[in-house]
Amino acid sequence: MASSINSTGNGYNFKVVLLGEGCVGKTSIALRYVENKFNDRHISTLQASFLNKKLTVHGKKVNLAIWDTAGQEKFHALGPIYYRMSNGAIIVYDVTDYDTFQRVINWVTELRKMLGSGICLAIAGNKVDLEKDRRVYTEEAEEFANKTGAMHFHISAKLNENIEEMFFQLTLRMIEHADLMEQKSTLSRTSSIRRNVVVVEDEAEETEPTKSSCCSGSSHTS
Amino acid sequence: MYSTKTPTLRIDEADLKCKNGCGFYGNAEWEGYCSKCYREYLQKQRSQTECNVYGQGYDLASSNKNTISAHQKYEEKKVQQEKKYKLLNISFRKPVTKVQGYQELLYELTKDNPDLEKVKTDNRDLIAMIAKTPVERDVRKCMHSFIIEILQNKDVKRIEELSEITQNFYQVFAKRLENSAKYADITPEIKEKLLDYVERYAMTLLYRILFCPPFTNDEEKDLAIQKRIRQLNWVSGKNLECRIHETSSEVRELVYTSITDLLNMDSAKAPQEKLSCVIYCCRNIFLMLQQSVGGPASADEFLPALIFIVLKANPARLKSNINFITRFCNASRLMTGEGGYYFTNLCCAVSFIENLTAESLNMDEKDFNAYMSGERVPANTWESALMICESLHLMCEDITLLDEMKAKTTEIMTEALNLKEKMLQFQEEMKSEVNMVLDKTPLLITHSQRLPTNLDCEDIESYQLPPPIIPQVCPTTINNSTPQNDMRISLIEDCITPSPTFDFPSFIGDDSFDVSKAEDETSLISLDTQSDFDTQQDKSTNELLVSTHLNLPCSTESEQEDYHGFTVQGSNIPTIPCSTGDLSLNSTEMDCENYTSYFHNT
Repeated sequence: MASSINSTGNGYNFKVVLLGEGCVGKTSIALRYVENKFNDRHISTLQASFLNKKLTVHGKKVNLAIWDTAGQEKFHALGPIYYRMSNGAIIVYDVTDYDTFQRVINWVTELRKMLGSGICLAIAGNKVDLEKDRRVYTEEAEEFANKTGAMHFHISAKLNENIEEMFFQLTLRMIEHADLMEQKSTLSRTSSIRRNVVVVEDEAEETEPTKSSCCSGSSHTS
Repeated sequence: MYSTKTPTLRIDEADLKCKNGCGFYGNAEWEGYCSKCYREYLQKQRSQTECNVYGQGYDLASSNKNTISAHQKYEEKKVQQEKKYKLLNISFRKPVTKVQGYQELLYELTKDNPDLEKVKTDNRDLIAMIAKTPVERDVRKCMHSFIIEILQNKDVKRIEELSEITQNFYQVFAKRLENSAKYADITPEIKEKLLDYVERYAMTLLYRILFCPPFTNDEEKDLAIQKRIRQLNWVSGKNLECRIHETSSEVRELVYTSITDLLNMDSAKAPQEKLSCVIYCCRNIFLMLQQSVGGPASADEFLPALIFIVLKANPARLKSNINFITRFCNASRLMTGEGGYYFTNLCCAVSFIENLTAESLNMDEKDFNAYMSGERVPANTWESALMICESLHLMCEDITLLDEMKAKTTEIMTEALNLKEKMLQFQEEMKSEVNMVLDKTPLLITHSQRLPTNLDCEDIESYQLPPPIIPQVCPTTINNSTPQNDMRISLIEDCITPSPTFDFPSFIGDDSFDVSKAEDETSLISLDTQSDFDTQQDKSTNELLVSTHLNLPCSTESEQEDYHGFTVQGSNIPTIPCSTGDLSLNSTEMDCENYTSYFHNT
């Protein structure tokens, strides 16, 4: 959380990690968002694990660094190394596989425990195009998200459904959070909140599930 | 195993080891010893000098015993002192007595530092750009004060505090670049370069102090991870579930390059250079994965592959390098980009290796322990696979080499055949042409007024003309080549080498039976030229050359007419040289005389 913004000039630099079980489609989501391609032969990047996306929100330049993580269970313990210093996290599950949702619960609980409210969370149920095989029910997922102060989205990387929206909303929230932190630091001059120094503060009431702004999706530039 | 593929840049591992041979890594700043041995070595040296000083006051005879005992006492005392320090958990450091020492140290660090010179030359443009401006002075000032601060604190503060100082310096300097009026008219790109340069320069300068410092346990950690990786050398790609086609030669090449890149990290100095080694390594891994995955690889595939590479590379001083980067690189600048991502993955890989269990390799606890203790060696380890692959690889290389050579030889052969054919063709053409010409124009020499002169004589001036002999008319055949060619050769020879050592015997032999008849046209002409030349020594050879050259082209261009002309105007030939100068007449007369005398002799 600490070195959150680096608002050099009028821009933001955000680090967003993609968490979740393997094969839930983390990479597809990132590729769909950044390259707008799905299982395509013409994907220009060599790798899909570190992607950059530039966008402008409310006249401010935002650079999203999207970090893919290894989802296998055996690498779960490495999570803290990945999500250290990140501003946002998207935790992905497969709507057709309940086990993957179980992993989401684990992740979110861990993130909240380790980073408190310093990180903006979005839970994403992927593969809604396979609606007929759904195993994870919307009510349960949304209830959990509300409880933990995370946003919840139903997305499909295959059909490019809701993905832009999800990243945009997460960005909005990260900006909000970054500005808040900036204010605080200038007020109290709390120096040395660099790196792994975690300042835990109770501000759980920051959760406004859907901040439906009129400009959603309009001011995207790649 | 990797000896064939290790980069040439790198130093041998033996060079890194302690001079004492204790198995730990040595360090140039400790005169090639490891920290422990160096401490002992220093103590020994110090006590020796002290002994010497001590011994001076005594008789030489008695001093021996005394020094030994004093030495022993001293050693004991030291050991005790050290124990006390250890008990108190105080690391053995130089006391802060020498406050002025850092100036000397700075000088020592700056002097003869090839890496520092390299940083300077790499950034020559930047330095030239800011040279002699307030910017340069300010940068210098900032950097100097930071370096001094580190040098002053290096023995007093913990490494974390030093890291804090460094990070603060980066931040303060970046802010200064943004806000200070001195930097107002500098473009953002230059500012970025300045930031990079300052970090590079300062870290390269302080590398000896800040990399794997003796007051941290970095070295122990290095050894621990090294040992751990060595124990895990049986782990194969299959164990890690990483999708590497070990049998493909392309993939193998990439494995080697990424291993090399990772190993290079230790020889790089500045944190960003180390980081770029990691980036190269990871990019190669992605290239490698692309071969097997068939698309952009995700982290699910990348991390196991990276772990595999780290296991196979077993980079020297891995922990020290990682710590150095985390502590002293400009976190806000480097850790957010691609480099930061790869570096994080490297940390993950190391952490995974450290905490590796049977479970994480999906194998039986018992098997795992057997492999770890070395009791059992798996049949299909990467090592043995590579061993076979290595020889296969060599064979492949040899085969390609042979193929190349074969292609070259066949090419040469066909070229040679072509040439041969052409030569034959040329010969045929020539032959037919000559025959044709000969058929059309049989060589007839009707009249010849002059005869060859005797050139055998030493004295050129005494050449005399032979008595006039009336040539007979008869057809001749010229040996084998074209008359033009022969003529040309003889003409040129005559002109170029107008020496008295002209090769006469053959000429004489040629003519010996028929000189009087002057059948051989060639000899006749050549002699003409020769005699002509002899008589006109004063005249420049150039003139002759020009004249011959002028003559030749027309003779080749219009063979028939020219040739025809020869025979028809056969009588004119001898008059050609005569027309070039009147002098010739006298000398040719002399030549003729000489010639007759020669004839009489034979």
